[in-house]
Amino acid sequence: MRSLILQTIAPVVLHLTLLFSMFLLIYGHNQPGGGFIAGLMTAVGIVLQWIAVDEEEGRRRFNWPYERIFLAGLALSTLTGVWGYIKGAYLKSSIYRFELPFIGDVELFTAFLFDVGVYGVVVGVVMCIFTNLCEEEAKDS
Amino acid sequence: MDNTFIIVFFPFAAALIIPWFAERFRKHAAWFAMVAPVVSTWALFNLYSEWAAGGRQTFTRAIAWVPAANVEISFMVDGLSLMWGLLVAGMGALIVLYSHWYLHEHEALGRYYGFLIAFMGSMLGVVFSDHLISLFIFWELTSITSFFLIGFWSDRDASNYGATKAILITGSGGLAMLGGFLLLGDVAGEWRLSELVLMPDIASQVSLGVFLLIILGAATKSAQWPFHIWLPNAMEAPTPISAFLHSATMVKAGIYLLSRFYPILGAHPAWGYVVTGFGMTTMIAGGLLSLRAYDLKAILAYGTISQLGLIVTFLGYGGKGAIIGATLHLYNHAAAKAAMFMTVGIIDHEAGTRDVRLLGNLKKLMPKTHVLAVIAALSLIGIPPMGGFITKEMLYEVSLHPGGPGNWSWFWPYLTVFAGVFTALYHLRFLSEPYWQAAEGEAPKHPHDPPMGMLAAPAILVLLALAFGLAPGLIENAIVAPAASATLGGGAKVELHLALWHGVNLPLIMSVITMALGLALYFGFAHVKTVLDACARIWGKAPAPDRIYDGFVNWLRNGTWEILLLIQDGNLRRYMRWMFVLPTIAVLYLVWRMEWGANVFPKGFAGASFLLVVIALMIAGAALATALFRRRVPAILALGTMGYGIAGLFLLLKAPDLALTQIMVESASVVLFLLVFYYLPELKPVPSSAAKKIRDWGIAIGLGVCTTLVMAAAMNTHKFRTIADYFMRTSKPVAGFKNVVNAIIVDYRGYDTLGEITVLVIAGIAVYALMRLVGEMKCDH
Repeated sequence: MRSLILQTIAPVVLHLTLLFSMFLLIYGHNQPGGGFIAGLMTAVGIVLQWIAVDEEEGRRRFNWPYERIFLAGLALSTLTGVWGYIKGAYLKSSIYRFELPFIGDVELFTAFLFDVGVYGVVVGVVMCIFTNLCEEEAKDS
Repeated sequence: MDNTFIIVFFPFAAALIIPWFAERFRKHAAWFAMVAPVVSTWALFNLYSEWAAGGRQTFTRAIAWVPAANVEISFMVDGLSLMWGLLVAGMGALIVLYSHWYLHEHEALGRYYGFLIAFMGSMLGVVFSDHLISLFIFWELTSITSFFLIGFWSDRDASNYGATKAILITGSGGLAMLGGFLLLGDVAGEWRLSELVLMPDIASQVSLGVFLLIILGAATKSAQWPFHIWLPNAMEAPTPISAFLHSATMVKAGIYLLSRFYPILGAHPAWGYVVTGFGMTTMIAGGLLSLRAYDLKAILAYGTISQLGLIVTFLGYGGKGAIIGATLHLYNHAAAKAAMFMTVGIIDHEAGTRDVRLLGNLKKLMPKTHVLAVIAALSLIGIPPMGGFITKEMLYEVSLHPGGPGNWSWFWPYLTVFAGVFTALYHLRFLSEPYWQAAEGEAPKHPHDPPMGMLAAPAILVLLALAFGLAPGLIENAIVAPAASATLGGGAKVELHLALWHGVNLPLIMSVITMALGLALYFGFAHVKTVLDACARIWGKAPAPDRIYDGFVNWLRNGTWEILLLIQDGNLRRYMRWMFVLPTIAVLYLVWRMEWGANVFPKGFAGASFLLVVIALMIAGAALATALFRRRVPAILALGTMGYGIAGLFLLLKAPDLALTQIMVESASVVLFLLVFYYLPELKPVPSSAAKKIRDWGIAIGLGVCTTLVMAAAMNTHKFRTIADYFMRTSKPVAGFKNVVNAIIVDYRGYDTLGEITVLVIAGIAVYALMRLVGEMKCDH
């Protein structure tokens, strides 16, 4: 499946989707977005790119250890919960405010870290399913 | 950090990192593992001096666990838990020392030491737990860790069988015990052991069922007949594990439970009969089985079963003397039996076999090992000056005083002597067949004494047994008496003045009789064997516990398989039919019961904009098209259209988060669908009769109607006040989020999300495994 149009726009789209998914992840606490959506968007972006270039190329460029990514995501979310537990109750979110030079007030939520874990799990699982299916296809053909 | 928490939790923390070190520094793995028992022992000594300085009063230490539910982790410190703690941690250190020489460098050292130390932590948790539930949790953790330790050589079928058997039997016993705990806690209104022991009349409030459930936990763990069958199979474990779990600690957890519950349930009318009943049966059955075994470890395993039976008998017998005797015997048995297991491990290591028929004359070939084995065995037989003699005399004396359930006091001295003769007989056999007699066959390797390091651990244990006999003052009032006092409960004063020589009295005469009978039977063992074999032939026809277990497990396995085939026959259409029909029936039942009338439906559709109607129609059209397309690709695309339509609906209804998610999910699933599509067979119209078509249409329409009904009902019933205001008000200050949807996902309902991503991860792992497995299977054929 090779299409010139797809091949040309895919790299541009990839960067845009990755950028936008980061935006969704970070701004999720105040605007529409969040780890789940951002994770799906990242995964879809990579999948699109994978399909655009051919099989070999896709595997070469995106052959990341997705199993580890989703396990790490789950671990991060669970551990964030433990942090909340130390502060009172499991998964209770804590809010920290900093003042950084040049940037100004920064708020950090443990809930955000939890969301990053969710992001990791979604990206990892979707890509794990996708790469395994692709591999199977390549093996058969 | 409090000492109790260090004692219990340090091993768990260490167990997480020990594997890493053990795998990297394989030559010195044991020394990394050694840190955990050493730290626990050190904390135990601190705790002991703290307890001694506080006038030896029982105290508890607690931290909040789930404050919202008022559950806490609390530990109880008294004479009993301290004695057990020292036993477990001290033995742990010796076992690690011994393992260093026993295991080969290429084995899975990380796994071995990790689980060994985690087991030690669980066992320490069991003996220090104050709360019934945490006792249960640590109890089951010992079962789980022992499963991995027994099955350490997982490439052997016998190991896996033994591990499974152990966890099934002790695990179900543990569940019975949990049931007993829950009922007991409910009856007493108190969950802490430290409080329960102070409630005087609790035993009379507890029903027989609750009592039996708790005893069942102890009986399965301590390998009481007929649950003893897991212990011989568990001998497939590496020998240090057998020495640790199956002689010194885990099998004694049941004894601990009985000791702990003696002040609580000891006054129960059934205590004496049930506990001594278990104990005596086990003692006799274990002894007989030991005499017929040929594997050295099996001889020891059945011997252990028999000795556990003896201890349980005396716990059931009750009274001050019996409790002290049982506590002493427990201590002595732990040291001597572990040393004996270690000598067997040495023989196995150096000769390559444990079959007594292939071993012989080891007295000359392995003189040092021989000395250790002889002292340990003589201690258990009860020969002076070893510690075993003192405990034996103690038990004889107890049996002479009236006590125990019912009017059977004439019977106890005979029973105790009988137990002593048995003990002497199978331990003499343990010594004579490998060490003194000539071999019938040939051992695979030429045996010789092991390096000194390997002898160190059993030597220390043997020295302890000797020291206890020669100078019982070292531990009698420091360790044993407080433990017995705690077992008796109610602040009982226990002071011991043990000595080897009490003058010529009745217990001494009983000892002499025991020895004479034991020796007589030993020299006439050929005849004993004939009788035993004849008995075994008759008994062999009866349903032995082993056969019942195997039959039950096979029945369970086959039955499960059959039920599985019944439900999951591989026909996707049938699965779907079930999944559609059952909810339809459920909703129709609700409609009927809750009298959903016409008032469920909205009165008008005034709120619906033109655009909304258009999108709704588009979705309906796409759905119909999906069903009607005859080829897969258009069907998949139509399904995608439907999904995007729903995203449009969400946008119109001002739910941008949902819309975004829907679009993403739809894109991802269309792509995945197209990939999976490759595997699906050609979409062929299935020839089906008119009746089947009507049925399928009926199912489809029924589900559609029911879904609509549920949606309408959800929109139009206002039984509860909406929680939305609360979320809107608090999301910023509580979670720090302005986006309420996301605040719900990651904070208010964080548990749900954690559960969901866990499911997602499981699905990911399943797909990964499935695809890899399919790949491998293809390679095989």
